[in-house]
Amino acid sequence: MPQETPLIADPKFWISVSSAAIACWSAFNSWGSRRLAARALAIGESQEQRRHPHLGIYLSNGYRRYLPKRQLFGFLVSVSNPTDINNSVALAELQVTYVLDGNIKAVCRIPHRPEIAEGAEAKGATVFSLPARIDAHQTVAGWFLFAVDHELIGGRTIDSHKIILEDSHGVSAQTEPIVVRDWTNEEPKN
Amino acid sequence: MKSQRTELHLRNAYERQPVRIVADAAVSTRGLSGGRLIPLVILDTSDRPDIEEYIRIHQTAEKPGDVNTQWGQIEGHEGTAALFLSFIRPAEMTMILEFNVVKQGILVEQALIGKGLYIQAGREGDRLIKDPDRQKVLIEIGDTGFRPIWDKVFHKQMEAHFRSEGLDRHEARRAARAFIEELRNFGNFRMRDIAQ
Repeated sequence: MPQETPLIADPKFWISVSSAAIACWSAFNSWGSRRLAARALAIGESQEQRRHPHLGIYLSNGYRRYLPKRQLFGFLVSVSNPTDINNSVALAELQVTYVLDGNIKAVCRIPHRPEIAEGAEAKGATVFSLPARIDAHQTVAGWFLFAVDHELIGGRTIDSHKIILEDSHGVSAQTEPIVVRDWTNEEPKN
Repeated sequence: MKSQRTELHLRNAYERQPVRIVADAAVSTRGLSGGRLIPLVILDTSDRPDIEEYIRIHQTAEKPGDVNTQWGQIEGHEGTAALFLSFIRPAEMTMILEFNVVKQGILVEQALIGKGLYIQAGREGDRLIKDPDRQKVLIEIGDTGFRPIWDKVFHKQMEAHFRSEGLDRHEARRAARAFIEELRNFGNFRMRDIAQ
């Protein structure tokens, strides 16, 4: 009758155990690799995201001056480029909403007119001249100036304003509706 | 190019309804768009004061405007072609013009040949001849890849129309081809430039 060998003395047992250990180690390794790959993908995607053109607008101040034939608007704005690519502001417009008869809203766009600053009381003010270059991770600040002729909006009251900036990639960024303050010259007249 | 389904994002619910065309004409102006014959549509704007406002602003604005144009068909509106106009500057507005292919196909054909379309605000009964100087806006319609699709649709609809008039299939096909060819010959008219 053959004598039974103890389990630990059986080389097959140790082969099985070592195979199981190697399999566990491989599983652990592949789990680690998967985690690493997922993190690398997330980093890659966030880097790619930072290469998508996008402009941030921060509005510091908004003023309006009401003249007999038109209204002048001035907005002090910081434009930031949080992405990894250089960009530029190609177009700046004031989106004006006003209400027509029948409660129908009309929306028109007024282009930025830097020439308004010439001859006006805008000493030392930086007025954006478009196109305005904004390098990656840079911020520029300045004034956007707009003139809305009363004739253009048919003498109606403006309901809301927004600034829309379009970059060199055709991507638009816009502010929330802006509250403007009337600007008057309060210096005493001689 | 294959036609594809898409959604149009509108700002206001009333923009969803196609604007009714109450009259049409064609205008050829020497020195404008190469003197091509450009169709004009008079729109019933009694429910759309924003269109009247757009045309008024367009005359006042210093620069010419911007518009995105897209030909297509509204879902469930068989036998029609629609022109989706999204105006960006000087005013923002969306407008849908719908054309009955059989009755108003000449307008679509001419808009494609002339690469443009005049729009004018009006009411039922208005005609261009009554007030030719009334404010109108010329919309430039670039090549959106619609031509091959339109050619098929136009021919198919005209053929079906001629069949409903009593022609057999072969005759209807021939009549549709002849009709479209005649239409194009007429539409290729151009106002010649005159040397100064």
